[in-house]
Amino acid sequence: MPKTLTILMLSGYQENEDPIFAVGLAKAVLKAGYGVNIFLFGNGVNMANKEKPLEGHLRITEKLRKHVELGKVGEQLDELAQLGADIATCHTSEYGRGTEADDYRQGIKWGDVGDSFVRFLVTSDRVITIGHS
Amino acid sequence: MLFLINKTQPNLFDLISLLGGDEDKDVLLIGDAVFYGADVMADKFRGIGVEKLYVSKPCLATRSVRLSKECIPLDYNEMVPLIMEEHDKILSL
Repeated sequence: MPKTLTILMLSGYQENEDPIFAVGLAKAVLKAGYGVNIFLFGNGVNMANKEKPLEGHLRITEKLRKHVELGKVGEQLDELAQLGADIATCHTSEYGRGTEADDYRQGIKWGDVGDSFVRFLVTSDRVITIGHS
Repeated sequence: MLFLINKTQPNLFDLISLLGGDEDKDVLLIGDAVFYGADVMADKFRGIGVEKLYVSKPCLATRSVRLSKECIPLDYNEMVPLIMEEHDKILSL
């Protein structure tokens, strides 16, 4: 059975480049034949949900929009899930941010610390935390 | 033991010394922590017993850092064996 890496992801979109690093590393680990779990915790849960269409007049410039889009790694999370990554959220973190009932991106699962994260921990060979808190 | 460091912090070297103790210590710098790979900083890692100092190439690419010759730049694929095979313990700081 291949070894498994669990990533505890504490940062969300646009805070820093933690999500970009996490998906880059996770993809390389998966492609090397290992397993990957990602637990989205704290602000990390803002990557779990499907994006809602923005309505109304948007003041963002095209240049700034392109820059912001670089940090939105949702599609890369979709790809990781398709490659076999197990990705779960912390529903308490979601509740605190008002997103618990929102739709998840494909491949991302509702989760919690007591079950999902503990299951990740006890079935992992390596655990890393990526965040700024 | 591998220390995965993604940010600058004032007590970093004390933390590595405290948590690493007498174990063999390597460091992987990612995110803003790649600034620790600058030639003026890298000697401090030697001073606390760090053996190998790795730096993320993707994180270096967006920063202007005059990297120490002691540093070993790695892309994501090169980080995989470091994390999955070469170190049993990884501490994120």
